Amino acid sequence: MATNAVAVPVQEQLTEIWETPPGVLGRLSSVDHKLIGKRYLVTAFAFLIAGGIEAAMMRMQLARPGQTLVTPEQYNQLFTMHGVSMIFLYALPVLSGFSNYLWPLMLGARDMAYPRVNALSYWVFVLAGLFIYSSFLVGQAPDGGWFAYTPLTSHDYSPGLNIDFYALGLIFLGISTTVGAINFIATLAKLRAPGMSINRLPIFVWGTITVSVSIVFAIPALTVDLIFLYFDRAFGLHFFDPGAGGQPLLWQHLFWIFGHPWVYIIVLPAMGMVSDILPVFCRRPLVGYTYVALATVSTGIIGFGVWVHHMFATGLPLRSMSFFAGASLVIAIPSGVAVFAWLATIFYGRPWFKTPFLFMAGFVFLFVVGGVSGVMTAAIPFDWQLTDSYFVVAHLHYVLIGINVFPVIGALYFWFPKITGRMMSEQLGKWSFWVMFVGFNLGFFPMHVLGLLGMPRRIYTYQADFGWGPLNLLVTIGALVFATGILLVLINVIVSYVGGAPAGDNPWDAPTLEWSTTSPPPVYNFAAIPTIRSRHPLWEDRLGETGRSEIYGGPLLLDGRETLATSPLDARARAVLRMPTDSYWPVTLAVSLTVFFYGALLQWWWLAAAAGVATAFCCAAWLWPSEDARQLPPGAVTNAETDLPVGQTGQTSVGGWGMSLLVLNEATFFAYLLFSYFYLSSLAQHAWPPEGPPALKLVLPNTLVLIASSVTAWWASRGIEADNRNRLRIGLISSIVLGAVFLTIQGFEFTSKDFRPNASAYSSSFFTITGFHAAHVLIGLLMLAVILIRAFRGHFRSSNHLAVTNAVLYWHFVDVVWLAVLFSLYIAPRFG
Amino acid sequence: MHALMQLDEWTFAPSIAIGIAVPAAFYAVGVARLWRGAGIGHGLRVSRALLFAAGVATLVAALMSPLDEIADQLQSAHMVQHLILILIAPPLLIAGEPVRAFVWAFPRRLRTSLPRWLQIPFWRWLGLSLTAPPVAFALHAIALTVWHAPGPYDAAVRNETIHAIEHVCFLGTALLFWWVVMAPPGLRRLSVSLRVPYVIGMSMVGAAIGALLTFATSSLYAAYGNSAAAWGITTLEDQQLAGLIMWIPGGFAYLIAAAALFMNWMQADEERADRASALRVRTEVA
Repeated sequence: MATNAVAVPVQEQLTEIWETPPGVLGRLSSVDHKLIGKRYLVTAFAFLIAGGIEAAMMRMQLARPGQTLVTPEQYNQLFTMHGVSMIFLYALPVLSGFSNYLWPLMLGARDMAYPRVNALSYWVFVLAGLFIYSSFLVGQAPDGGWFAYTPLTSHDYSPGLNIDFYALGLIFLGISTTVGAINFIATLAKLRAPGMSINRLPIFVWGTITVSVSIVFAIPALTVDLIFLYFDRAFGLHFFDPGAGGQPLLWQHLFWIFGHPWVYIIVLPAMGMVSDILPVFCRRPLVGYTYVALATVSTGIIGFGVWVHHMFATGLPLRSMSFFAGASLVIAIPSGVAVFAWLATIFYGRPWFKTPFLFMAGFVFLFVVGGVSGVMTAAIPFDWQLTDSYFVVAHLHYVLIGINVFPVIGALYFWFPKITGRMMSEQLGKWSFWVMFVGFNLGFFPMHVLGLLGMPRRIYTYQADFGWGPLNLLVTIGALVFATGILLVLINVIVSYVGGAPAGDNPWDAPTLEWSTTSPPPVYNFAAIPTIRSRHPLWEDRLGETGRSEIYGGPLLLDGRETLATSPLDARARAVLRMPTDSYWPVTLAVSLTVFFYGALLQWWWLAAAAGVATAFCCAAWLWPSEDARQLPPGAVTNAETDLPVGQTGQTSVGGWGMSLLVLNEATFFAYLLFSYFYLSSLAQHAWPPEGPPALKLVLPNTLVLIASSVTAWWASRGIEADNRNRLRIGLISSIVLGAVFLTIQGFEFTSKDFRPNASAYSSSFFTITGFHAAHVLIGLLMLAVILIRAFRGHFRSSNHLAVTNAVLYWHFVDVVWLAVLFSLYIAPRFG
Repeated sequence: MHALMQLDEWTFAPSIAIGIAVPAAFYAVGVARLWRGAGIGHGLRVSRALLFAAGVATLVAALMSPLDEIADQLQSAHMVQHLILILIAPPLLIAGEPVRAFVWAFPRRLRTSLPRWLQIPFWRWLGLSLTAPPVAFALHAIALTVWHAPGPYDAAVRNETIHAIEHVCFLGTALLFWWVVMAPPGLRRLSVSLRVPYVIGMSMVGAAIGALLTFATSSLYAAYGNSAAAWGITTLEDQQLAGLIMWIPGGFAYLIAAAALFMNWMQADEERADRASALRVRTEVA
């Protein structure tokens, strides 16, 4: 209806510009965020069902004492894969699905900042999930628990492929998570509609941006940890081997440095959904918007400071644990702020008891229960009694199902009409809520009691005379009731998808921007780019807001796939962005990465090497600019509608943001590597390094070589800024030569050592850290080489050199990392 | 008991006393001259002057009070001293708008020629380089990290001069770091949206050092010998406590700063967006 404000021919023109090519092959190339979002949702729910089936098998086994439905080995694989599926393959991806679908619609953009990266993120997610699940085909699924503690998972005690699937699969999945997070950050920074200031963002957007930033800093800890585990297992290194100076606890530290932020990563966007959906059904704005946003951000930050509370039972000094018990209690403050904001919103509103409202209100109840048992386990004496018991199982299910699954199902009921254009059945919806709610509490509350009665988690059976039988039967019945509730949701989805009532644009009379489009939204999202003037663009009249958002009268941007780039701070329109078109490179790249990880799994190095080369080739081909993009350098053309330049360059451009975030992510990776080095050294029983500080005679001159290469790279990029293409070429050639010299001398440095990587924990760290640095030098060299080829083809001029700026930034980063490595590995031992 | 009796002993090192007194006096002269001309509270608010005074007081508390004496015996007390120097004193001093007060401390003739002085390329270059956000961050992070390496740390505990250099490094780089975050509008170099991650990034540097101190199973520093025993704790426990103080209370100081910056950002943003987003659209197209 209202979108008719834009003429039909214009809409047809936009559809033609934005539409994905037809057929299966066409869809493989699609970069439409709505399609990707839907794929994410469907795939995540598929993994939820897989994890649910695993859970059901475990509950059947435990329903009565002494059963033999599955063997102990199978049981170990079931609970591990249940945890991995739910925590890694369902909980975040389902939120990413909603975010992918909703962000551009909420922010007033036509796509995400990096549509192709978005496609890559999805393909890597699904292939990594299938990689991990392919372990079932050989009967060797991961079996070390979702947190896979060493030394149980070391090669000596887990010789099969099980843990290798786990380690490599999660490294692989981390790529998807990381590039997805970078995409969200850049989208928020650059693609908000004009006037969409940060205090007009839906809280859901706040939740996703908080976790995206957390992901950039948290995932590298897990990646480092998994690389150590894989290296220990595949090459006999000693990071976790106490016999050779390693520390099993290092695994736990790195795992929980990642793991505790991860808990918030998979709940904060869901809490954001509650903050956005609850007000719609209370018919009033959220109470305390600013404080809820602050609570979201600060919870994300505190998440990094309390990991030790997962390790109260590992023999750490009591004094340190007291501090962490105290710090953990602090999380109750932002959580409390949010809970009271929700309660006040309900209290001051006029609740409208639709299905989404029931799920949101049910969530608030479960959040409080899960929060209280969390405060209980933060108390050290209590934790010592209950750690590794069913009390913890109860707590984490209240947290994860309560704070993730209930809001997600509620959000599904809420946004399904927008996504499909059809309403879900209200009657079946209410049934599904009550069945889920009753089943959940029936199934999971008694687990608290089982924990108090001493039932340990992860046991495949128990004896009748422990007296746990009746409660376990109750738990199994409750879990099956809960599963029935989920089944009702799925039936509702299918039935409504086929024959639900038409939804209309805004069936819930909601205030946010996504409801201004048709349901489902057109491929181009907005026929005209809106301008925002308040937090509730669709409620401005009745709230008496002073500003009036302009939703249907903005620029149309019809010269190809275009959207507006705005400034990060005040959402001022800066440029018209030409968005990438559909491409097969994302899916090809994801497949070549899959082959690489299978090569590493089977230790077929020729396969891994071939896939590595293919991956590098895919990257270069992906980044190679189209003829179109080269004919039209950024800023060369002015958009006639808006007088804004078409395209953007420089550090504040979309591409600049991506490279800066990648560098930040990689820097964090090295920071965790060096942290591990210092951690091992501070706990070393013998001399560290064993043979005294490493010699400087090769590395000091080599450092000068690397610094010189940075200077020439800088000189080259300054050259092209002044349109001096010769300087660009000479500078790049010099940098490449110097970089190659550096690598060669590093090769001599490696061979000059009279120890091998597998000699001790020290040698493992030394070769891993310097080796990863050398690998990054190689990547940097490849980037510079591609830039050089393009320079010889005359791709760059002073107005068009973003690729040069980015590659040189990466090169500087590689050099700065070397200085940190040099200081830590070569200089610091001399001050010991 | 012996150790506890030192609680009322103040230390008086001339270099430190002068180092604190001279800028304080400069500030006082400037404010006095400013207020004499413009009236009390004009040109520089009274609350600003009080904040600066509080900053000076925390410096005195850190460097001249009995805390300084205890810091020579207990690593944990030493850590408290350092946290005052990097987390409490610098924000207070900067909140006192020292640049404005200092300018007025100069006599009239010098004051008018001051801008010309500041135009000298080298000073401009130095000022702009040191307050560039990545540079200030790196300098502060390097100062924190390097001084916690066993060699430099022990040297500082044993030798008063090196100790003073350490404190100057901490305070100086901390002033640069907090200046980036708190600089007055005309001198801002870091976008308001990036200040929250900027502060949190530094908290991670502190957390990493704190974690290494906390989890080490042997004493990393030799200079303290066994002096913690007089306080009823072992040297190792003292070290753990020091690490935890840096990690947890230190971390919360950064968190509070981040929360304040966040609220500030939220308030500033809306008005700017309305002004900035007036987009000119030619309706006749299409």
